[in-house]
Amino acid sequence: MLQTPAEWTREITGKAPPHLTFDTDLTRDLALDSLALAESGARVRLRCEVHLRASELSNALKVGVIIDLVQDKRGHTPA
Amino acid sequence: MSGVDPDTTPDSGEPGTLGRGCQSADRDPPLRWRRAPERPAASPGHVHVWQIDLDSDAQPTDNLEALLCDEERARAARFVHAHHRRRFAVRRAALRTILGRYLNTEPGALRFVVGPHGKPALAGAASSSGIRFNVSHSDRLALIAVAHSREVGIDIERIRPDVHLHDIARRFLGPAAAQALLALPPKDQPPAFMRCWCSKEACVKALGVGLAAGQDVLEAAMLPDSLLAALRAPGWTVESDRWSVSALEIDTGFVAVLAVEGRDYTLAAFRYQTPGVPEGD
Repeated sequence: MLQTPAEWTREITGKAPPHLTFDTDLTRDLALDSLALAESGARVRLRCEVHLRASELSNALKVGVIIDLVQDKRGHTPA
Repeated sequence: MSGVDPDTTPDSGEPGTLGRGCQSADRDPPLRWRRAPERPAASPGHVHVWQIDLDSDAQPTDNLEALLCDEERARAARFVHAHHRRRFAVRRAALRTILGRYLNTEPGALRFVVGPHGKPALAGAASSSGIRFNVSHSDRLALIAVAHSREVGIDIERIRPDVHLHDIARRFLGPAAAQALLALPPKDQPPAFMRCWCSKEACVKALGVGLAAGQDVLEAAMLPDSLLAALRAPGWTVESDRWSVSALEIDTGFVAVLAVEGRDYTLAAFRYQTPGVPEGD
């Protein structure tokens, strides 16, 4: 389940996150800035075909929250 | 803005044009980033922008973190990559050192509070100083805007050609700006998108609101005009009675935008030098 977020995080930051967990904070642990967070939304849309609103992305700072959002919108685990 | 510091104005530029009832100021001469005064003074008529090279500070990270509060040290320790921790420590130490110079206060003695959308402000005795500030960073560069009795917002971004700009533009910049962006030649789209993104960030940071702020709030800060200006040229300023939004000249490969409450001010730009380290030029 963490593979997809790990992949788009690596694509955005250029480095593989060493220990991605549900509690990993995209800003405080991985240093993603607001553009990188927006970019995360774009990558989620491409990979999971799920549209996250700007307001949802603003609050989805943890990997687990994004996974929950994707699951809620798709009704199953992201591919 | 009224102008840039006359000591730092080598050239003059061309005036710009804008619609929507928003005025385009005569384009100010390009900024020259100069050596900072030892004791800078904040006043209502001046806005200062400081540039920090986050990779040039030679001080050990432990020395920098000694200037930080417990919460900042804890934040530094959370970063999973060492260079993020290092850059965070440099940035926060520089912020404290710079604000300490204005306030004649030890950097480590400063305290901060954070607004509901993350905008920091001075706390404690310094909160009544009138000093407002805002910080932005991207890759190896950070910018700190310092003003007095007026709000400021600043943003810097490294231009990245691989950003999914079409998707982000549609969702975060609004349909008009997104459409105009996509009408540009493909090679011009990444820098134009970055200028637009910086404009929105600078505006929402000046306002102290989040990226998902309502359009009415953003229109009050002239964001639509700023976006259209940003699409047209690398150097521009848009002004109303309440806000001034300007592109800043910065290192190649980066774009930066400053949003300032009001319009009657003079802008000066400084390169931050680590205390005790001789300046190279």
